[in-house]
Amino acid sequence: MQIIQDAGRQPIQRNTVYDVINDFAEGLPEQQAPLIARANSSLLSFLTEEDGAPAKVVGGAG
Amino acid sequence: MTLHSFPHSASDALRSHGLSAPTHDILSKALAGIEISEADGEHLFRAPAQEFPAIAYVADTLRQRVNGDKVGFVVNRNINFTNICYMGCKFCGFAKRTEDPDAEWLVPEQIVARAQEAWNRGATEVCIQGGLHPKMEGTYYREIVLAIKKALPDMHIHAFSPFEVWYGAAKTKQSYHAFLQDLKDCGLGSLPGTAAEILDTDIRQQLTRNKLSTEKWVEIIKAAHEVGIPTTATIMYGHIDGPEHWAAHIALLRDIQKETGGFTELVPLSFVHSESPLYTLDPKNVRPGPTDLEVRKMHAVSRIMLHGWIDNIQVSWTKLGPEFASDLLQCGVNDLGGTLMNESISRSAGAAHGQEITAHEMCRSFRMRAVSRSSAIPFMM
Repeated sequence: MQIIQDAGRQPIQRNTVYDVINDFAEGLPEQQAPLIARANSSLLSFLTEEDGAPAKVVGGAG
Repeated sequence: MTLHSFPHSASDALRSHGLSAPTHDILSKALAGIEISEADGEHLFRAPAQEFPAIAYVADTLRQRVNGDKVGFVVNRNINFTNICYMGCKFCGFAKRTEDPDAEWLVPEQIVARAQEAWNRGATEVCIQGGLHPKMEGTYYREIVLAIKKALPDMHIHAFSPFEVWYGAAKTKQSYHAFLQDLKDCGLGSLPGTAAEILDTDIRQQLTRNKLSTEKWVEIIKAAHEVGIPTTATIMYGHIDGPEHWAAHIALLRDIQKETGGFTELVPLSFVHSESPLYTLDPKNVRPGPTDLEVRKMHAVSRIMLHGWIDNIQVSWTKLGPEFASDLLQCGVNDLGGTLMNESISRSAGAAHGQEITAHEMCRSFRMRAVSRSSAIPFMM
């Protein structure tokens, strides 16, 4: 945490017009199951997979 | 030279780097809080790669002064209610014809269902845009807003590009002001400042046959601001455009902001070429998107030119990917945009990154990058 704070950036959740909703200076937002199931545990690797990669729509949102 | 090895004293920073005299003067002005001109902006866009760390340093310094250490994001969902569009914009890989097997049209109940799902997952905003369907009633825009507001009164509706406003106002035979006032009365919260592309007549003639002219785009944006609807501002670059267009575009946005104060942020959008007809039909004369250096410069120079007027420079991680987006936090960027549970326009044009990223992943991802940057990573061009 110290190293992260030393790096000097803090995530905030905002609304559309830039009012702060949540400040995550001390922690991370709760994880929730994504709409698209992740094919592996590597963080954000699903974003760089090609279309048709082993991912499926969860909850019929697609 | 690495960005992290650049001197941290503003006064030393520029002296020690061996900049050309014009670049030194422009960056000194910016550091002193003096507005730089359109010509200055064009000069920075044309500056050689070795001068970029100084440009990034100034952009990052200004970002720090305005935004501090905060990096923002909004939990939202994109809903593209139709991909049927007959405008024929050459850069677009999204549009379908009604007879195409993958043509889509969402009725209000389907749109509300997606908005409800987003709300249940913590979204505060839905971003709604669609193609210009030839048989669509102009009143469909208000129907969408009313339906969502009826189900979800507290959901912020960020919807309808100036192209859609132009289309809806024409179909309903209303002025832009009247059309937008009605949408606001129905519950519209803000407008995406998309369809700006490059605000230059010659360029727009080639991109869209100038169907929505620069003058009309500006008129619609000002009308939105005047009725109290804030908008974002965008620039889509890296195709048939160049530094002179970029600087003029940003200067025009700045002029509008001075008049109305209605822009919330600038979102530079890099041209995604791979399935865009603009590129595939004429690959010899159209660039396959901006270079990495141009992407960095776009965000940095935007921060410098807009300093004092537009406080938020947002990176589009759906187009650039989260890693590159994180790097741009060093180039004047203070916002990562939306978590975007669905985003189909960029993916249709070939971008690989249009998917949902959860708030947890958003925070964790860029924090990890922040840690890695703290050990002086090489500044890649």
